[in-house]
Amino acid sequence: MSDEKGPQGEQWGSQLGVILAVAGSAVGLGNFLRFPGQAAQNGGGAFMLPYFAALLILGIPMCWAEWTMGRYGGGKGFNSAPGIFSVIWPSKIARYFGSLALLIPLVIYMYYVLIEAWCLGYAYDYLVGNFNNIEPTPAAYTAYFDNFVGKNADGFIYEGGNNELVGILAFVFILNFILIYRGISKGIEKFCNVAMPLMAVCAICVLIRVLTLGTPDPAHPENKLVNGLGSMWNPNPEFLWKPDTWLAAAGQIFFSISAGFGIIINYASYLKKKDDVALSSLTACSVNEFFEVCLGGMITLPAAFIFLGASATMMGTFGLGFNALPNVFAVMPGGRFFGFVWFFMLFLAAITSSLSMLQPVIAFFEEGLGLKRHASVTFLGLIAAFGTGFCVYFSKGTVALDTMDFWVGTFLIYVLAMFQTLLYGWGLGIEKGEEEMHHGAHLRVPRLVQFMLKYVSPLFLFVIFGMFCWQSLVSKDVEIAFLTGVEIPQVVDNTVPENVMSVLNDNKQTVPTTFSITTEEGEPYWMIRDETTKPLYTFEIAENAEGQTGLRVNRFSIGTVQALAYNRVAMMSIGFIIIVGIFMSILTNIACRRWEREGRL
Amino acid sequence: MTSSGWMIMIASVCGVLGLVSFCMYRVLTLPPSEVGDSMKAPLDIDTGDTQDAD
Repeated sequence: MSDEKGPQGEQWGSQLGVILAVAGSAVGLGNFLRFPGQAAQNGGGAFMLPYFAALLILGIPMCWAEWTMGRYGGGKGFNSAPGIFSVIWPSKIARYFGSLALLIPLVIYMYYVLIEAWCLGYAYDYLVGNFNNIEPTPAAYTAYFDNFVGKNADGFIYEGGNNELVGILAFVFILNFILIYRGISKGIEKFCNVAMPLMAVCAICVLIRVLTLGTPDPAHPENKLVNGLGSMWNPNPEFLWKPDTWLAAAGQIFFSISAGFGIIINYASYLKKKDDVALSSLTACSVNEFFEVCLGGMITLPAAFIFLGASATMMGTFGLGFNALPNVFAVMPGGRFFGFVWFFMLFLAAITSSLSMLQPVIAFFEEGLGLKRHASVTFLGLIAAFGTGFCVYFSKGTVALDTMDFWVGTFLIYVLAMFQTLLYGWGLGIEKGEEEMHHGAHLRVPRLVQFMLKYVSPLFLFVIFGMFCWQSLVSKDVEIAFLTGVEIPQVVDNTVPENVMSVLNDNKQTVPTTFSITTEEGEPYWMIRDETTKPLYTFEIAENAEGQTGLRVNRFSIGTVQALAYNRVAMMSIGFIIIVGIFMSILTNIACRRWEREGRL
Repeated sequence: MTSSGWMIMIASVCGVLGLVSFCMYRVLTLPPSEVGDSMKAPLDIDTGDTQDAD
């Protein structure tokens, strides 16, 4: 161990231990559920070109930078981001970005532990046979999931008869805190040393089952294994010309490797000065890629395709994981056993990630506020329980969870990751960074990587962040159809003209039973709004590219900022995040003043 | 599945398997002195994080 260590004096027990812990933090539901969906929707095999490009330009260099900065800060006696950022860049701005690195894992933990409980709940249901009586149709499994998570009404799972999830959540929540209480080497490392190999065994078990399915339904000979693999891997080169494909690939890499979460920097701070970071970081990245490409890419979509057909490729993360796959296990030979193994594996993937979200905040409470382990665990437990309770109560449509995931689990992570790349390239400096990276290194990192970290990675991140903001935050009209040669009234009553309705139906667009039609005064423009007055479709008299006048039918793609105005729970979730953020900033300020008094900053 | 699909799948999976094998081999075959210094069983390490708790 280095001479200069934090007040807790914690360290990893082995090099492999820290690698598995970091890999465990990175491997989560996204590897098994998000990656296959993203690949299939963005060109299949063609997606792998931008995917591996993003891994080389963004993913691996950013991990090297975070590991290096973490060990550097640890050597200066800090394990939490406010302290580490402050020693690299002695500025008040750095310490408040450090509080962001506490807010992000804390808030993500609040909802991620709930998803973790869903996984364990499904594994338990397979074990005891609760799925045996469900009709094997997509609708039945969707209804089961909605009921299980309380998606139909706020406070639903607190009602009598729906207590299974609450009990499992309490168990999972307490288990996380027991492990974190035991510390770095006795808790996190020991658990990950068992959980990671077990996760791989479970995944390989399911992989073998999927690869030996053949053509399970003779009535549908087209739904066979080879075509299932094709749904995931057949390339569509046209997608390579679309910016969205590159954005999706960069986003997948970025979220998959857990850069910008404030976790790697904390884990690496427990390394000794002469411990390797170059090889360890690359190994953790490669383990994450193994779970994502070799297991996630070979299991999830092929299995869903074989039993559900091409529609499976268009499902989102939760739809694929909790609606489609249970349906697959219901009709798969040995499905009950493999369903249990699959969801238990997802639970392991989730808990190794959730553990890593608690440690940065625990480290801060201990070294920043001088709390002992009992007190810091209790304090953090109360804050986290409040946030998780918030997500559990406001379960309708999983709005609270989705809002936190978007603003903290996506938006703020971009912000923190951009700051961290700038901190490495311009704060620490690439000369000092390269020297620091190669202390005790078992691998020579090419000099080009330093150049990339200073110029290319920040620029790349700024570009994808800009594209992300344009895609997600800004409201836009997306043209569905352009009608010519039809008579359309400029102002209509609360009735959708038949020809317009048929256009919407033809394009698989639905109009809710309760809606209103509003017009813009003096403009040939009207829109359909839902019961909350949120715009759904807009219609305008316009000219097309050939100069013909007609009716342009648009789907109104509402931006995330504007959408907040139509949802009370989303607004409350934002308020909750802001309150936690202010609280963490105040604590950071207190801690930094304390460190200044002690002469540590 | 098309032949290009097969090629991309095999190249991706083999590429990742190659990388993870290389890295794990390097990690697990560290020189003995390095191993002796850092590869301690977790129970041998006194983290001191719970002993002085109030």
